[in-house]
Amino acid sequence: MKSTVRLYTSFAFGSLRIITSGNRYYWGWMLVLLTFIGFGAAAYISQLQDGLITTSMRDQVSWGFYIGNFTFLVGVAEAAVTLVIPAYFYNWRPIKEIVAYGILLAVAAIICCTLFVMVDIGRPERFWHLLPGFGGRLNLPSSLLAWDVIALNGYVLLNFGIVTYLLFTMFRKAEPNNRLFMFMVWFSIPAAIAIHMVTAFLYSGLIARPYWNTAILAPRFIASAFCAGPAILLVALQLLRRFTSFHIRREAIWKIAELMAYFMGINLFLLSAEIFQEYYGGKDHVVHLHYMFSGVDGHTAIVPWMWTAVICSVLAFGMFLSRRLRENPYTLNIGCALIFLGVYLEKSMGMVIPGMTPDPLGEIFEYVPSWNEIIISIGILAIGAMLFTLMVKIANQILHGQFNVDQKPMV
Amino acid sequence: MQPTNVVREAVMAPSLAAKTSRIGLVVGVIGMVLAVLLGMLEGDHMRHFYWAYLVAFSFMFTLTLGGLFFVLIQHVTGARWSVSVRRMGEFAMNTVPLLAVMALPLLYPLFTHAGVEEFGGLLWPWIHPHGEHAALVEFKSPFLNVGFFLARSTFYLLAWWIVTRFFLKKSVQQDQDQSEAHTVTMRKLSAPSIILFALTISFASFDWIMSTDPTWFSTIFGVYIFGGAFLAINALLVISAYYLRTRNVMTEQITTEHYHDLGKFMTAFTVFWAYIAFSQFMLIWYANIPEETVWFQHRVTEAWSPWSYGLVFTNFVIPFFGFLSRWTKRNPKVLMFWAAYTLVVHWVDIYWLIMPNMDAETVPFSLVEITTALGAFGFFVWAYSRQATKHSLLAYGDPNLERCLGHVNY
Repeated sequence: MKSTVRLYTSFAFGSLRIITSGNRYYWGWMLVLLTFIGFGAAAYISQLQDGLITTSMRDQVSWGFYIGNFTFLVGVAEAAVTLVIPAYFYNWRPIKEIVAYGILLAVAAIICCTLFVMVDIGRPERFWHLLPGFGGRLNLPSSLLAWDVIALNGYVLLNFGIVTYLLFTMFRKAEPNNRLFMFMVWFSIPAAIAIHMVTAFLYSGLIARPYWNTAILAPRFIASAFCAGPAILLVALQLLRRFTSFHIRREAIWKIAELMAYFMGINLFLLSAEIFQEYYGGKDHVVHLHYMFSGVDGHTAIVPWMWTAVICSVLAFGMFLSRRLRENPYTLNIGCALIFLGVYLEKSMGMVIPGMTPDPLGEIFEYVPSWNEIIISIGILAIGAMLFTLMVKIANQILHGQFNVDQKPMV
Repeated sequence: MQPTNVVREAVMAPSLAAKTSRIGLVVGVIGMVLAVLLGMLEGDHMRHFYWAYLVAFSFMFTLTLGGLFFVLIQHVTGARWSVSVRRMGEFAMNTVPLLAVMALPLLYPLFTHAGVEEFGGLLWPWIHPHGEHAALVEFKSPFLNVGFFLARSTFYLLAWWIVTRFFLKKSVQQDQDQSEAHTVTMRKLSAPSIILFALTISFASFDWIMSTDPTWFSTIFGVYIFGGAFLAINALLVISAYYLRTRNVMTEQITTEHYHDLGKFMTAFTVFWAYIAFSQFMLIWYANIPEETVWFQHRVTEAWSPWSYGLVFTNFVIPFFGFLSRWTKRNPKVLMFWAAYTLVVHWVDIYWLIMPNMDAETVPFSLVEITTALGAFGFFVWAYSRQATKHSLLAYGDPNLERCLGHVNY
């Protein structure tokens, strides 16, 4: 017992030591993030004081930038699966070496998702209503929102469990219990699909918002997630390689890029299937598509963003189709930036806002996020980036055998 | 993968292939003749026959297109394990000319509606819009009209014919010259071909199957058909491999490892099919919008509900647990059973997609369905196996053959 406590203490203190030391780039990066977090916190305090009126959300558009970011980040979280499958199902060593980073990204992304939901509901104590046994109700099984809460929290716990178990075992210089570890890994795959499926169903089930009432939404979520999430990961891995002793094989990067190319194609295909059916259906809800791509009654605020999203996605797909371009570091990163931008605009703005515009009564309220919303969102994203940085910093030393039970961390 | 030294030579089984194709042809002719006779006896202006024929045609269409996707996906991913079974996929996809011929009888319902005006036509009700939904169907007439429908169908068949011919020709050429350049060319062209495949299989599904209820639409319908198609082709490959090996053909080239991988594909696509089917159902049930629920409403009538609820078990629960174990996938006889089962339930799935649009109150299942299914499958077997009389069963020119034969699942 005593030795276990000592082990945990040494792990915790060692980790603390790692994250409180670093070169000037590290501290510069932390300072930038802390500044964003500070501004975000100030904006959130202002929202708490004055209420959701500080946002641009209104009766007509009750989901906005926060939920858009939430949706996008659910996709980022799912990106871990694109590494878990080749690493553990196909036992492919180059990816196995970096899979922990993908899982850490998933953990950071889901924590950001929770924070986006928290700022979206206004007063945070409203979470109380969700807690069964404490005066709240989860409304299972009928509420899709409740399923989403369970899926997301389950996914973050599972991934956190996987990565901490893996790292702590390596820290102890022990062999992981393969049965337990593989069970968690295998279970994380349907869990990842579930978070997106349930989130998509959450949209689809709102019948007064026919734009979302499409069966293809869940597969589209998954396809776009498998493009945008790995795009972030690829850039992060390259940055890690540049600024740390972290080693990543080129084959791993190429394989991820190849997987992204498939999913970019699927994503575009599903989008075109969606557009076709909107017109084929001959229903009034084609108006949402018009609002996205050509504007309705002179309301065109979102149009340039949507065309930018489509152009970025098509360009990125074109680039990634070519093996030469996706294996060239410069064009690979340009492609990653394009697909990230394309999916971010599509999921954060193109997914949520057109679904609410026009509203069920036909009113058009042209939603543009307020500065307060934007600053809070940047603050949350900075929290995610900081968490990811800190976790990666600890993981990096453990994975490279520089920090373990016999060895204090390198600082 | 462990490379092994192998002799690169053709694997020919002309007499077995000729015998199999003859059996297929006999079954095809007898089945179709009986189906026509039984259809005529029904006295419904052949309406039942045409609907059953569309089911059989769609089943065949999924096998052919499944074959095309199987070949394309092996090239695009640079798969090595599948070289020894890929030629059979190439044979399956190269049945497009038969598909085109089998499509010809479907021209008749496009141009006639004598005696079946109350249904809006023999097969596709949008040809002569009637009743309360006429206005909605009329709205779709720029897309759903005979001329454009024919043009699109011709385009699909032509596109598939060009692509399938190209890939088979290249593969056979490679047998002769053993040049790696063919692999590079096929890999390069497989990516755009997959895009063409995705668009054409979706639109063909919308046109030929989904438009049998022109008021209903589902964005995911094309993906649903694709899922079933890929499942079916893997089943067909397992059956073919078993058939050949039990007759002492390809015994060294097709190993337990290949069965295992085909089994993995079937497990994955059983889940994929269920996922897509659930996505389609869940949303429509939850949103409860009349224009969409009516499609499922027609499938939960007293007559059809056992089929609908049964599908959950026959097409997901039972095969999922059937395929799950490693032992099943590595046991040819057991896997062969599940592959045959998969083909049967795939036909049931297509039947369930199409027939309630003909009659939601009764299940018109009779000998007409059985004979059309046997007829179409017989013709498919004929076209599929006769190719083995001319070409090697093994793509022995493929540079990855050694790796394929040395492939081991861990």
